[in-house]
Amino acid sequence: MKEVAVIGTGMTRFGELWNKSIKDIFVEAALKAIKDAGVDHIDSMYVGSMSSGLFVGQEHLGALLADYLGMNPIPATRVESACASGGVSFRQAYLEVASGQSEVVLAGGVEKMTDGADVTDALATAADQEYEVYQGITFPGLYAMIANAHMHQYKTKREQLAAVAVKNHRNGSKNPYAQFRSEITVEQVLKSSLVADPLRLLDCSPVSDGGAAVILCSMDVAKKITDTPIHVRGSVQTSDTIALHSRSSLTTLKAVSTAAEKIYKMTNLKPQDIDFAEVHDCFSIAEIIVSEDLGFFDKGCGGAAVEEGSTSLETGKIPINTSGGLKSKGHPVGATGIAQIIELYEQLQGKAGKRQVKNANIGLAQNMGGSGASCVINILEAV
Amino acid sequence: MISPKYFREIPQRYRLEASRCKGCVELDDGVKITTQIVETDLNKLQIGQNVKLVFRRIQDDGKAGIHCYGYKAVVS
Repeated sequence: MKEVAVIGTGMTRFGELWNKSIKDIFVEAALKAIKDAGVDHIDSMYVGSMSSGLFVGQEHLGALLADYLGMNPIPATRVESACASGGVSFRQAYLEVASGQSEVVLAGGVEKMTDGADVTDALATAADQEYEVYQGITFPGLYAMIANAHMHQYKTKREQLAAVAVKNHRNGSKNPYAQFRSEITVEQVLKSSLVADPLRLLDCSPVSDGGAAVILCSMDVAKKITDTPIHVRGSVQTSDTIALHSRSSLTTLKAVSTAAEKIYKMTNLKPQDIDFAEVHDCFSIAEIIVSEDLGFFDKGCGGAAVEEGSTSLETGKIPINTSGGLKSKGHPVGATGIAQIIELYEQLQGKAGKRQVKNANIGLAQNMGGSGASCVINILEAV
Repeated sequence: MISPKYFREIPQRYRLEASRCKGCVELDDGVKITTQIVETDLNKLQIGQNVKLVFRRIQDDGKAGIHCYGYKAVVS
């Protein structure tokens, strides 16, 4: 297997992009990435998208987007793994370059969610239709059950959930690509409208449009193009039962803890070696549980950790979601995993501006689908 | 039967009741399911409380007039 590097990135602003179609959004991000990388061609491309069929009535995204990008006849593949589609798109591109099959590959992701489809229903297709959705389950509902279980088992406090959203909005206020660039307070979170008890509106990531793309190539090729390639140190993917109720525990996401175990083994790293992380905070409780399952904190201590500032950009021993996370940056589902990689890239290149983590050498991105039935973790390192 | 976890949420498509509670329920034989918990004072509902399954209408297909049935849980 060849060593793989990321050499360029591009993304649109996340938000309600009324004047842009799914094609416009993807092409904008992809052209920015190609220009940023300084390559004159790509050999292949992947695009992560969860549900373009339900959101905008458009499937066959691979060929469609390669066409509008002017890249026919390269192989172009759409990747779907619910909210982990972007992270899996990156992993597929990584594997294609590592295998030696292609030299330069684009990994992208896109979602156009604000065109009028019933977003809650479309997202619910990532859960088990027969045994969960038929009973009226929604994603806020599933994560609310997880939150209730965590609060019951570990005495996690409601204010600690709010602290996740407050921190991520503070980080997102410094990100020009973020959907919400305003800071919020714990009181505002606690007073926002109830969605699924105990989760309130400001615990939930928003509905967003957006696209993101990165360019990968072998390290040998990268060193001829740039002095500052970012090394893909490792990439793993796992799965778990699709239905939340089938799991032995509701307070651990086994796909995440298993993926963490695998990636630390693959990279010969420990949780303490990670300088900062982007994690999948689709709901505030998710960031708390994932920060535990990645080994950053003991089980049950994730809530206290965020409240004490252990994950903050300013004082944290492991800053989490410096981009603003899904909560503040926005969550155009298929683009999210790629946008996480872009935050890692900017931090590792020292180009994150007001969000810059000091001495950022190794970053971890964790992206998951459904109630944790799919998980992909990628670790990037400054060379 | 045991109801280890519960939550309440604002209904989206399922409008047979104004407020709903759903939870993961473990059956006597170890099978676990997600189900609605009905006919219960939600404020008194506890994790670990015993429930039993009942046969109820789950949703309606309004225009076609088709009723869809299935299981729900009530506190036993």
